Amino acid sequence: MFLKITRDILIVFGFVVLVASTNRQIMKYLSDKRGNEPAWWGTYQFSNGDLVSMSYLDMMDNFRMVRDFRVNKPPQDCPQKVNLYLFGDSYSRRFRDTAFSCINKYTFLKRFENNLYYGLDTSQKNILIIEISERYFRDYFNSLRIFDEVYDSTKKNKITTLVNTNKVNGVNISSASIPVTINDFFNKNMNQNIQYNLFNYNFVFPMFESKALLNFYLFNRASGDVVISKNKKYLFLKETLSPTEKASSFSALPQEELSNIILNLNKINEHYLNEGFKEVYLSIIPNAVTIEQCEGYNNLIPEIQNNKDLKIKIIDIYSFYKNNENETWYFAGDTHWNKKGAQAWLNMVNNILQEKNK
Amino acid sequence: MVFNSLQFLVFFLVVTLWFFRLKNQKNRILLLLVASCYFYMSFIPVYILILGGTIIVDYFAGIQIEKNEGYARKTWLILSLIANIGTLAVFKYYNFFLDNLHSGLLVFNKQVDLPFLKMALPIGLSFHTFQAMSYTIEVYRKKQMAERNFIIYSLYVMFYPQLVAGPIERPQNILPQLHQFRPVNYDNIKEGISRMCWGFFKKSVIADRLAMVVDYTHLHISTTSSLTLFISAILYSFQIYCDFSGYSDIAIGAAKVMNIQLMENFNQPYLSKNISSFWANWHISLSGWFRDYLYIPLGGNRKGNLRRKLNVFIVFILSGLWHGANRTFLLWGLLHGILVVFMPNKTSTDKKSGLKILWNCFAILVNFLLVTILWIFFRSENIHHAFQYIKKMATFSSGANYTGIDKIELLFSFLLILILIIREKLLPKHYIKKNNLFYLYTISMIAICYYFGVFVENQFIYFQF
Repeated sequence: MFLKITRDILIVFGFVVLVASTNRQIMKYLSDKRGNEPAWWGTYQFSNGDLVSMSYLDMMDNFRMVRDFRVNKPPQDCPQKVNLYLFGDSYSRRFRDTAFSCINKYTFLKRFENNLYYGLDTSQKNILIIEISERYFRDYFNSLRIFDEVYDSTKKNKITTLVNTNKVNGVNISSASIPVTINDFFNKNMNQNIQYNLFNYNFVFPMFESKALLNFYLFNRASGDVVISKNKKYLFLKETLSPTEKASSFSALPQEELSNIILNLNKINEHYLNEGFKEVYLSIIPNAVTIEQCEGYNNLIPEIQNNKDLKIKIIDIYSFYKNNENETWYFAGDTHWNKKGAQAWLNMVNNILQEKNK
Repeated sequence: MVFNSLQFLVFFLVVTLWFFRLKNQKNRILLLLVASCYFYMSFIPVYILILGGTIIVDYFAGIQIEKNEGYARKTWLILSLIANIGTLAVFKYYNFFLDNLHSGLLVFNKQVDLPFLKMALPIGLSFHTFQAMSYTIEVYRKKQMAERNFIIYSLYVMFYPQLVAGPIERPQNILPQLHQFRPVNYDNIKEGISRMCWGFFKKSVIADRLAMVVDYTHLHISTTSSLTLFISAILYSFQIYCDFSGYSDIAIGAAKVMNIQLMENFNQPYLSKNISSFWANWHISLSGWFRDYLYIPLGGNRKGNLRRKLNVFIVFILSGLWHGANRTFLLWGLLHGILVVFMPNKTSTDKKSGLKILWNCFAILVNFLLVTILWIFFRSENIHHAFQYIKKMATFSSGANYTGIDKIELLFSFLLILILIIREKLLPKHYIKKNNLFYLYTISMIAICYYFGVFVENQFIYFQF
């Protein structure tokens, strides 16, 4: 009798886990309820750096991130004539309007989460900055999908799609506004979601950590999608080192692809200038490995930025970092730039803004 | 849904316990069919239509073959074969054909835009089409009654443990088991679970660990030393063995838990003394398929030595192509064919003496090295890559000795291989009689797989075929 009851409970439990892990609404509900909850049933806290968290190396002090994102407030003693539109990603999402100089209006939208609508005030100088991480660059600019994501709201009326692909949180949710299809019953992130539902609890964390430490001390490597740098000072995202992935700083860069990207960037530049932007800038933020362990680099950023056919203006943070290699621009255990790296980029942007205000 | 995933573990738990709960074979079969559809659709849902299409054709073809005699009977068989081989030809070989045509035209300086298909290969296509063909051929040969129950026939093709990477079953083995209600057997559950644990160990702990070395060296051939390439080639032999036989262990174990017996697919192939023997012990279900449905119908060894050799070549070339639409597989098959035809394959049955044991060890070693070298073609992306690898390996040149993993982990990998050999040679059985020992073994294996497993959601190598 006991065995039969246990069996039936397990069937129901397993079925519920499968259904919950497939369903976007349920996953969203669960992650809202459990995310960053300190209780035993809450999810593991991702506060020491995304790569530290992905590899469960929170015990390693040298990789833990110092949570200080404050940047300098630039002087505002200038006429505020610029409307700044920043279409960026997780690198620039923390910046507030006070981080920029001489701006009348600041609009930021994060790629892959929101679309950027604009209705340009032509009495102001409108500047568009497209900031993108190197690991997304090739994939993103191989097409002109930006035209569907950054557009004049008066000309095009489209529902915003929200897609949360935050791998770090161990859960993948996409918006409910997308119609349900057969593929929704076969969620591609099923394993990640099952792991979230079955194991991502604060009380299970020591088990993950013990495996991570075993790998670290015994085999000198990190678990999961994270790689330890040769000098042991940094953690890198594995895909940024893989010779076969487009996100990588070391994968082959075919001339054909490069030409296509240049062509697309020129079309993008021309399109947004015609839309009324005074200037359009592109800024590629290098992968940490591009700067910190560059041997064998595929030279993607210099190849793009120095291409003689390229028309779009560049905010060249790559060269700045390369010319100041003694400085540390990235967190040791996070994919992003540190406070100093971010400030360097902001200084470049503010120089441009001040120049435009003259 | 790969076997080494949480999704599979939860799915397996639900399906198996539900299977045990049902007291009626009809319901059990229905449950397994629905579960198998879900399993297959978890890769690319729409491809179930292709599988469904061939199942319908073969189901009706089987009945018509049985009903008719003479010309009509043959026509239905041919129709079934065309449906199966046609599906394979379109989805697997069409682009390969166009690619070769394109290369041929380029030789004559003709640049033509050819209509390549832009779609992924349906997972496990070669496996289930071969299993389906096996059914209609057996019905045609009057060795198997046509299956009238559509659900049972569908399940014969789609039974989820062996759907995407075999073993390629025969109707005589599976269909009677699907008809018969078999009560829950605790010994089989224990044996099945033990075997699944061993399969997970081979896949997650050994194969995916060795993959780190193999993947790294194949991407850095020019800068890697000959010795490292040689080590990597040996490791690949064990990677592919642990990957594929690990899959088979999980498949056979999962079926065993439900009291269904699948055929064995491996029998310590690397301990073979010649290539013929290797093929008798490697991917046994495929070798048997080619033997029964191609080699023997071609005349086998009944039409003289020259014809036998030709038949062997045909079988191995097609076997190579079965693995993939790539010239590397073609060459790999051809080279195996050459070795089977020209290498001596007679082993002495003399009583064991010291010299004999030494000679056998030498034969095993030589055979293993030959198989290892040929695996390079199997692993490489193209022929140029394969020859580059072999050339670099053969020139004893210097270069980086980094294998993609730490030295300690490399040594650990060799230790794992040693454990593998000892375990499979000395303890080939999976049944553990004593309950306490079974629990201890299972819990230990789960802990070992978790702590020493490499989890990167790697697909099984043979899924792509």
